[in-house]
Amino acid sequence: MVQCDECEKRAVYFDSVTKVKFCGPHFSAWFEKGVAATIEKYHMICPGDKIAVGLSGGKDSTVLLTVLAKLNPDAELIPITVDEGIANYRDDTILAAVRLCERLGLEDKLISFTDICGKTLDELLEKSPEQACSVCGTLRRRALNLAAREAGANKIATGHCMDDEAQSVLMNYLRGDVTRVMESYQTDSDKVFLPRIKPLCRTTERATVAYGLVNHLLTDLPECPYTKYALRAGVRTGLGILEYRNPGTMHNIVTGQEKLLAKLGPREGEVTKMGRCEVCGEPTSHRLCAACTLIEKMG
Amino acid sequence: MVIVHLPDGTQTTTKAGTIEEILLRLNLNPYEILITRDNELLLADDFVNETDEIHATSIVHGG
Repeated sequence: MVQCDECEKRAVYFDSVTKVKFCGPHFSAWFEKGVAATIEKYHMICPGDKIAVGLSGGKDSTVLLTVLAKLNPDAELIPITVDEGIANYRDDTILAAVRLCERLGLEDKLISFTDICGKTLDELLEKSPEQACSVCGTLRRRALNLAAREAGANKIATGHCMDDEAQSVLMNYLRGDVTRVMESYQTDSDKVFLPRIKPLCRTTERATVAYGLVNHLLTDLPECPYTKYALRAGVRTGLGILEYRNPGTMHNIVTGQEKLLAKLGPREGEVTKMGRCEVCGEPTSHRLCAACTLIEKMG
Repeated sequence: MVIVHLPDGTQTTTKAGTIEEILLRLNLNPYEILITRDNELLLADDFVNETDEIHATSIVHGG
């Protein structure tokens, strides 16, 4: 039996980078301490914040909402679930989200793609399912922004983990999308969009799901039927293999990107001013925002 | 034989071994899969006996 570093109980989690091993309760405490340190390091939450939490009902957002409620008992948390309209998938995850909110004593706010563009994702993708992730991502951001603003939130928290961050960095390079690599400081978007926080961005997906299992938060849910079309799926598989063979790969990608941005520094004089979309009034640097451009293109 | 409940809802059987051995034998990436037995997480080096039934959870999320 492998023993916990902190007590005599059996270890249930081993971190292959730091080499620490913990029993369930000590792992949970270690995980929560890590999330709290990330929140503090990046000044994510301030007293009086009203935080909209993107809650899909899946593993990451379930853990995010649970940990935020535990770490910030005085913060006002507003769970928001976006129903994209994906048959045989979203109904189960919405039910999981509603049940979690009931357990935590929070009210889940639901917004659907039909609310914002009159069609479900399935209907939008009838002729082009391979565009699923870009269409879904754009409209989901719109839905989350709208619902958060309507609820009076001043920040939006999402359940992105370190793995998601590492995948995004790599995908930007694979697309040759240097603009997006540097997007965070090339626009004044922070002033016009609700600020986004990612409290799980320095915890691995593995630790996040382990936390969910140790604390019995997770239920078996179906996989999104459109996942197979995503560039992210291939990147995720490749990075997963690299992480297994070379523990710390994800961490190195994410911290490497952070160091790169820090070295480049602020680029005064090159900031793109954000305006307003001619159709919906949402912030954008173009005539139409990404969501309205998409809706116009898809008829 | 060990009964393994896979993340896609199907199940398979395999001979006894450590968690890491079993996952590699089933062509599953040990980084992406967490294994529980009787609702308790197991480590990669934990040994699973012929009479055990284990549950595999994928850390990968679908949106």
